[in-house]
Amino acid sequence: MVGAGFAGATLAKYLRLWSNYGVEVIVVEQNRQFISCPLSNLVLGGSRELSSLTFGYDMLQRHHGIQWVHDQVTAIDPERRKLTLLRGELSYDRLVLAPGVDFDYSAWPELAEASARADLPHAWKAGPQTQLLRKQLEAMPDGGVFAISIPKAPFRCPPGPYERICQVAHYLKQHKPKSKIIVLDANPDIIAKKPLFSRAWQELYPGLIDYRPNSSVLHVQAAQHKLETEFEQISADVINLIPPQLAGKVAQMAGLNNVDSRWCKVDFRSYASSLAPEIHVLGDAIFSPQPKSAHIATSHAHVCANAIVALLRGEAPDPEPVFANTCYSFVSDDAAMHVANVYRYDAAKELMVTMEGGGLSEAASTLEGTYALSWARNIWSDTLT
Amino acid sequence: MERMAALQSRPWVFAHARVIHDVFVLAGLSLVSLALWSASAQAAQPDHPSLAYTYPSHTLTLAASCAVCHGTNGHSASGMLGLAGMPAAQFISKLQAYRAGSLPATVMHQHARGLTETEIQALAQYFSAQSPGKTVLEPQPQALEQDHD
Ligand code: HEC
Repeated sequence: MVGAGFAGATLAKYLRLWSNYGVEVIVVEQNRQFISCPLSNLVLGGSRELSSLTFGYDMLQRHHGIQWVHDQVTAIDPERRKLTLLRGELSYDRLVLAPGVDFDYSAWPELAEASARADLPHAWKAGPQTQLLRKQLEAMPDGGVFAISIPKAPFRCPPGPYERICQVAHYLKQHKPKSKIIVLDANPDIIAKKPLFSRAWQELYPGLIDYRPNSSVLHVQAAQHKLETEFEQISADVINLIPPQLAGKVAQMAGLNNVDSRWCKVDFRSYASSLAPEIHVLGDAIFSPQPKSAHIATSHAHVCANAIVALLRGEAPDPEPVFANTCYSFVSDDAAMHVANVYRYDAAKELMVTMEGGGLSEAASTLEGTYALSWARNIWSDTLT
Repeated sequence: MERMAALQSRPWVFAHARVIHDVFVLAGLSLVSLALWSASAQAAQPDHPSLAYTYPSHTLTLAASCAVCHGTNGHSASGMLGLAGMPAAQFISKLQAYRAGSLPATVMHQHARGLTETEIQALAQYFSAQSPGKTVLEPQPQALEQDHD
């Protein structure tokens, strides 16, 4: 198992559980800590510390006898079923990759070097970049401009940028009310929970948010704090440039990103790659019409764990897996709203399709804020213990 | 040892993944960490009863999908909305009421409407069979190490 985010950690645990501890699982993960992306926008809003979203893997390892290698994969050899790591090699019978997303800066040659973008955090993986962006907000003068650039879909967590705008607005409204948020959205419109976000922006943060659709950033002058779109040039005190995304590096290494050279095509009954049946890919890295969310990532892991156990028993995996998704978004420090759907495998379409009856909250509420926090505690507990 | 026996009695299990220890040692990974590493594997004491033989995988996937809000096997970490041990008849009538819109809900109507009758029955069996009152483990928050990617 390479990668221990929501998908990878869940796969490791449930493969152990559902094989009755009969399958040995070795996890390779380059980070020592798990940092939850869900709720990390609240760090920007100022109502949460990143440490409250940072956890260890020790309980997961101990409770389920999962072997753990803290290392980085540098090469994959599917023919010899071998992984090369910085410190050695590993061989496997079945390989599962959950590498999350990688960031694509190729549209901006001026940002090719990591040092050139050191001042432009994407903060799209919770961690040091989240803290950096929070510090930049704190240092911003009252009357300053926060610019956020949203890439074309698909990307990790479709409601995430719009939730982030609420959180930044929540902070600015209290501490720097003369400031402004400029949203440069490469998409033609708000792509998730549109009526709910529009309403929250209008009711909670009137006059603070300037939303500009169809606005891809073409050039970036990092030192001058300037962005250029097809239509205009924008100066901002803080720039949150969220780049376009693709399957994480390990999936690219294995050459499995066969949809638009970005995402990995899999069989939704087993998450086996369409290119290599003994390699499974889970989570944000796959091509799928479903949102790239934590709940969905854990669901991929459940289907995959069940399928691997079935395959080992010489049985066929569940022909019609069903699972749900819910994404909660916080519009302030305590009010949240959701989108929820149930998905079912459709053999004719070879996709998970949306069932009737799903949808959005009627409005953001503090009741749902409470449910959202309970959701977070339960998904962390399920994934990490 | 028990684990080895379990392995042998289950011929469908793959021979375990092989780690090339020599390479690790050559590459400088200390023997101590290797020892710790395999110790962690041996410490595997299944404290969860095996569910895989009791329920079809379809139900396991679905019940696990409820866990993000209701807790693992219906044991909620926040104490809210636990499902473990809910009598099957009560469970079924609640889900039917969510589908019909006759029970107030923020989100459950949207989940209940995507399921078939058979799935609801299977989930009712699953959650009613879990014994309530289990202590829920939660990972502990910790300070961020700055070398995180
Ligand atoms: C996104 C979170 C979420 C998910 C996922 C979810 N539920 Fe719920 N569930 C709730 C909430 C919140 C309530 C309380 C009613 C409401 O506000 O919708 C609830 C209520 C219930 C109740 C009634 C509890 C009681 O004590 O009255 C049952 C039974 C239930 N859910 C079963 C399920 C099952 C089965 C699944 C999986 C198929 C599931 N839920 C998935 C959030 C969720």
